[in-house]
Amino acid sequence: MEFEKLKILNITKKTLIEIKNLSYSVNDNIILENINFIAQEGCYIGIIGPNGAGKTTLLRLIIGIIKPTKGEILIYGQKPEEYLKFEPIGYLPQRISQAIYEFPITVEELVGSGIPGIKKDYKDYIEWALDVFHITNLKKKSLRELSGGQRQKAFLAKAIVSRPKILILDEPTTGIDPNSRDDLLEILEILNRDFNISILIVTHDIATFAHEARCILCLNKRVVCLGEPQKILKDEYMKMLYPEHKVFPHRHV
Amino acid sequence: MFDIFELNIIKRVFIVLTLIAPLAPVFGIFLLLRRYAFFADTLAHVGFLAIALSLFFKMNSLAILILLSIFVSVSVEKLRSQGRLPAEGSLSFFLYAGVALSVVFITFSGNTGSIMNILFGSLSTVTKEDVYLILAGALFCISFLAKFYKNLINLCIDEEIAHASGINIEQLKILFVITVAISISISIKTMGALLIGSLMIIPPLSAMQICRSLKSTLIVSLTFSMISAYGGIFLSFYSGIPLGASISTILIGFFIMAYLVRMFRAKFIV
Repeated sequence: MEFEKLKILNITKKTLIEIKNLSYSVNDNIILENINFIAQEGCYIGIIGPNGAGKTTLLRLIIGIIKPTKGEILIYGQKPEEYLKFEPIGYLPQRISQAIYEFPITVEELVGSGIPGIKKDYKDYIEWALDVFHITNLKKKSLRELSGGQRQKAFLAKAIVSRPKILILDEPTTGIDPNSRDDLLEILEILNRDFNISILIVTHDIATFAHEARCILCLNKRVVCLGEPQKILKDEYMKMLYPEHKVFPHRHV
Repeated sequence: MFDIFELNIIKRVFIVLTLIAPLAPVFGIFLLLRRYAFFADTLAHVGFLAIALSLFFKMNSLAILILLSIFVSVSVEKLRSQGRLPAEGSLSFFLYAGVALSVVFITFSGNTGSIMNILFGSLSTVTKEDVYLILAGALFCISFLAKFYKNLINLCIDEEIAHASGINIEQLKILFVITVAISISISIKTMGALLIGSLMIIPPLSAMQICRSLKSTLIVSLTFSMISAYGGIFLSFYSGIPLGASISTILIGFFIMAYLVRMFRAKFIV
């Protein structure tokens, strides 16, 4: 019976994000132009592209911090501002203000701040998020005592603590060592597979994510290509995306 | 020693400080987290202008104070959000405008003798009517903090993360500056325009030296603030030092103590 249910759920996957004719410009400077793209529920999408390709802008448009100049974005059929009234989006921006690292706030307090309102099983949510990122032992530590990688994990735990349906990460592997990066990738895989959290990641670390993401979106102001990593990460596409680079960096396992 | 509480002016100051001493450092924590500590000073100087205006027009100073502070705080936040002026620039502009115009209006009002009370606070300036307005203002601030405490923490951690978690950050930022404006307005008569910022900023700054969590920072800040406020009443009464300066002097003592504890810990305790 459970199996049947799962099968039906798989077949009838909903549209998570729909982007229609999206353009964004600032003072006649075109940042994104005519983006069209649909992401299904449960997706794991890596967004790649050169500097200035509009990757971060696309994420900020999806969460509704900025509004499109043209076109629209729908999350489960709703505009981002409408969706956010009822459901949070787990989000980790590229840079976080340094002020928070100078202030005494524990990992537990930081993660707990990600739970909206007052929940009965508040502590359980925090414990779960800390456990997912293997930082339960750090919960009483102040954020200013942690390394860059540990802080990153604390913010990721905050991003998932309310069990969002969507997790959006902007360059999450920046500044962390290869071991921590592999650890993080494994956790994201689990969150996507076992908890059905849809993931959108902006990255420069193409070779790493080629093995994790189920779909790659190549962006350079427009959608250059979109599809499975095996099909997309070929020299012909990479030359279109990064014309100055002659060799695409393959990861050796 | 406690005979002074038989005096009505001391009773009123005691009630007012019981309301504002726990509120000021909570706002101070959020201002420090947002790197916006200068905001308190700007509003305090605008408060100076409001009192000067009330002397000139002979009106209720607290009502003008609250309205003018709200107007300035919303203007500063709007200018900052829209990127029309850099944050420090707009704060400096309103601060200097506040001081310059205050001096103009005080000169024309012919009441220059009250400048010391306005700048450094006094035991005797709080009227009975003021106590009711301060009580209403304090209740507004307490309700705001109770409802939006967690949202404010999120806003201070990162605005974009806060937005993604469903918080209406533009609305919250405006509500926050309005509430800070009210909390400064209701404190200015006792603490003085130049020193109200000290009651907001020094307690959390001291607590930050010795605390590791937000919760303990909050508790220690409130303790420092309350002890300084009550101690300041006695110090002011028996020494004749203006109330704001008395309270600030005790706060400075707490800061030095906390700083030394931190240095001692760093040197001798790993």
